[in-house]
Amino acid sequence: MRKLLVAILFGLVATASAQPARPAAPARPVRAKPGKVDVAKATAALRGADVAAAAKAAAELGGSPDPAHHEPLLDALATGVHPDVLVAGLTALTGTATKTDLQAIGAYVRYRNGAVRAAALRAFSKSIGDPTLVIESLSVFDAPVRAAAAEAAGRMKLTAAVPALLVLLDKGEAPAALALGAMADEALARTVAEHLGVAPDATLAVALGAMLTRLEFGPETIRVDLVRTLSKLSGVEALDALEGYVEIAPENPPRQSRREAEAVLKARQGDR
Amino acid sequence: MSLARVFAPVALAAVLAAGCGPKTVYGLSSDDNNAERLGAALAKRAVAKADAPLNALGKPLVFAAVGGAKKQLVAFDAGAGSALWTVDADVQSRVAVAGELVVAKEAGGVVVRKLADGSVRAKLALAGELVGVTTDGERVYVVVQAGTGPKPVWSLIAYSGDGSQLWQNDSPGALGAPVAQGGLVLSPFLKQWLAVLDARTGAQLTRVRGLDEEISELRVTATAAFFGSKAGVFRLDDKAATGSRAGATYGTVTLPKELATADYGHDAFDPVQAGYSAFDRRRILWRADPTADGPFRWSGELIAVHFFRFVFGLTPAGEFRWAYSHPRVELVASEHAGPVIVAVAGDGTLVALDAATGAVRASAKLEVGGPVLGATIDCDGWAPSDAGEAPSTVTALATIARDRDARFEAIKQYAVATMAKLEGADVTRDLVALVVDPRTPIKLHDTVADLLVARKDPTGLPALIDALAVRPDFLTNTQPVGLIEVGRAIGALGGVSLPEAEQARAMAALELQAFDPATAAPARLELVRALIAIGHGRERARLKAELVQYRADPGFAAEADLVVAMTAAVAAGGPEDREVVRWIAADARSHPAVAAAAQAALQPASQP
Repeated sequence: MRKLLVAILFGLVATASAQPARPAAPARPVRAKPGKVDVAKATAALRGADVAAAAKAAAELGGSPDPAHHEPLLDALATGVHPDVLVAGLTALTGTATKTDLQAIGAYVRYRNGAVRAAALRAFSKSIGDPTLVIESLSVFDAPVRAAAAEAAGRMKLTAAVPALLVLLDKGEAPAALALGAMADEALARTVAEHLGVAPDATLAVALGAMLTRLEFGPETIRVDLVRTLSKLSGVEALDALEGYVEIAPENPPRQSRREAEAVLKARQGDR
Repeated sequence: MSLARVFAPVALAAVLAAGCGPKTVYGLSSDDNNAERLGAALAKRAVAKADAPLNALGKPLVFAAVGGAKKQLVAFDAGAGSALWTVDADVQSRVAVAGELVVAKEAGGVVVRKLADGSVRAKLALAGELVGVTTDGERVYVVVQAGTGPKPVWSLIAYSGDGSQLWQNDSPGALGAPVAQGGLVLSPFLKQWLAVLDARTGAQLTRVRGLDEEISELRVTATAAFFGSKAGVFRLDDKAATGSRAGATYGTVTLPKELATADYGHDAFDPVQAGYSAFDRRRILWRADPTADGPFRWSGELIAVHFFRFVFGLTPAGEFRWAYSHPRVELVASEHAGPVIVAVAGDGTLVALDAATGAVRASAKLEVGGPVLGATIDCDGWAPSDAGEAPSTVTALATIARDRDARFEAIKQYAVATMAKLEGADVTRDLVALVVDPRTPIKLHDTVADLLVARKDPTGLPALIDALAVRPDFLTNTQPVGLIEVGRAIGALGGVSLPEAEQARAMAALELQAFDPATAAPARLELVRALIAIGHGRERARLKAELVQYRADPGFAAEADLVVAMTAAVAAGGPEDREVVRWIAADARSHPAVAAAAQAALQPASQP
């Protein structure tokens, strides 16, 4: 029965993702390992009706660096469990997922529950970094999913996602702003700065602040331009961004951008 | 020339004529429905052998009353596509045309104009409220109502073309607007009688009494005369003397209920209809072929209904044949001229529609400085050389259905109902377009949705699949519309044989939308039902996977109808399918509602 259900759900993954079929996960025996995780107990909890206990077990199993401990969780993913259990398990797998775990995780990147979907997307994109999936997920109506996708796009420095991220920036989405901030080079920074007056000030400030707080971001001319753009933005987010930059910018050698940021902060002390 | 100087000779003539004294020819008792006398009267009548305009030029002419700052009367040669003349005139009644005369009430009285150039030939003072005016080209006949007290008097007065009064008949009861033809004047009296008078003397030759229905509408062409009511039309022939529908040459049409307010003609007793009005925009347009001794015969076995901006070609039984939708502006006047239906729009556009197909055979534009208020169309027998291209009926109906004018809801309902009876992929595509258009009024939307389901037209499946192609996109703020309706329409094809490739394409499209996280629960239910209906078991693998994945999800369990539909569909499969359902029913992690549905699906009674 278990194999049948796994096959059924893997069939769903292939259909839902419309991607070439991946190799079926090999059937692995559940091996209880002595140590932090009591696999047998966790497995029993996963198979029970107590959602809280199952979620705790899913987190333990998924968080284990031992791929063998994931097996009961993968079984649970393949046979359907409560969304709380899914979120716990998928979140735990984010840092530990192996290639063979990804097929089960992939079945949840289009799940209807937004929290589950976001968790699956994080786990999936962190491990495999599927650009198509990330870009597709930027346009979904679930805000948590978009946030997870933006986060992945920023981490992957996914330039193909920039047009979508700029649209989200204009819609006032902070995760998109952070993603742009994480991946921007000088050219993209200028593009983002041109959204002054189009994107909400607060969101634009987040994007520019995220760029300025990257130690490698430069050259100085663009840093100066961004500080000057921030100085035109209203709201505390702009001040936060400038403060953040002043904190990380070295005092020496002296930077014009830092001096201007300090001057703006001094002049706008009353804005807080 | 002052008004007083113009009207002086007319008044003098009236006084002289009055010396002879008005005759009272109308009364409650008379030798009604005398076949011999009617036959004799009609034998005296001079009528043309073929349809032709009544005007002396023999050209298809349109006389349009123009409003606005500069009120005008425009005579337009439809055949030549150019104006014959334009004169300043504040037209306040219908324009009557015959021979060399063009007659209408204008400010101050009835004005007789020359056909050739529109110049004034005579002006007739009105001694009361105008009921109607007409001409046979030789004389002018005016009906007025004088006195508003307990004893009003109606008078039918005949004038020469130069404005001399020739005779006058008074009546203590209501007279309607008359018509004249070939030496006879037809004068409706109290909506019950049609007096047939000698046009030269005013003497009553005979009288027809309507036994089955009132007599309130009259029409003459070059070849025939008709009378009747909102209910139907009698040909004025020997048999009219019976006064009954059964005995006379009588015709009636059956209209769709949405068009049933249209009339065969103008109500001769309604003072509003003595002039151009909204009644002219809601008419049955018809002609009748002469019959030796047979029943009434509608020309070409077709009639048309003009309904504001639209014209529908119908059989006398009301079956739809063609439709014409005039762009933007209402048609303010229309007439069935035989080969074509001529209509004039408020902006001066003139169109001639083929009476059989609705093809536009001619179009022209009257150069007018204001809105056209109404028009008299004297184009009988006009056959434009261009045969025109038969319009796409579906396109015309779809245009009507999409019309934004809120007054035409009933007509839109009729248009979509008519569309739905037509075959072809285009029809489905147009119906789907209405369903997914957020501007479609709710009632119409619901009607179209029901019609889509009822069609069960497999040729429309590609259009339905295409409607599922719209994907939700937050970036562009795009969301698919009409998923429920399209799902229902596809589901209705469950019993219809579909090509395998089309079935597969439809299933893929349904799955994509049904299981998209952005799809709302009601839509998902209809899409899944459609999947089950057309899948014939092929959908089972996907449904099974969904069931397994969501069986513990409270959100899924809350979609009770969906859960029942899916578990039943999977349970209807083979042993392996039923095993999965059995496991879902038994497993502790399954949501109780899903487990219960699975258990129920396994019961023999729930098996299809």
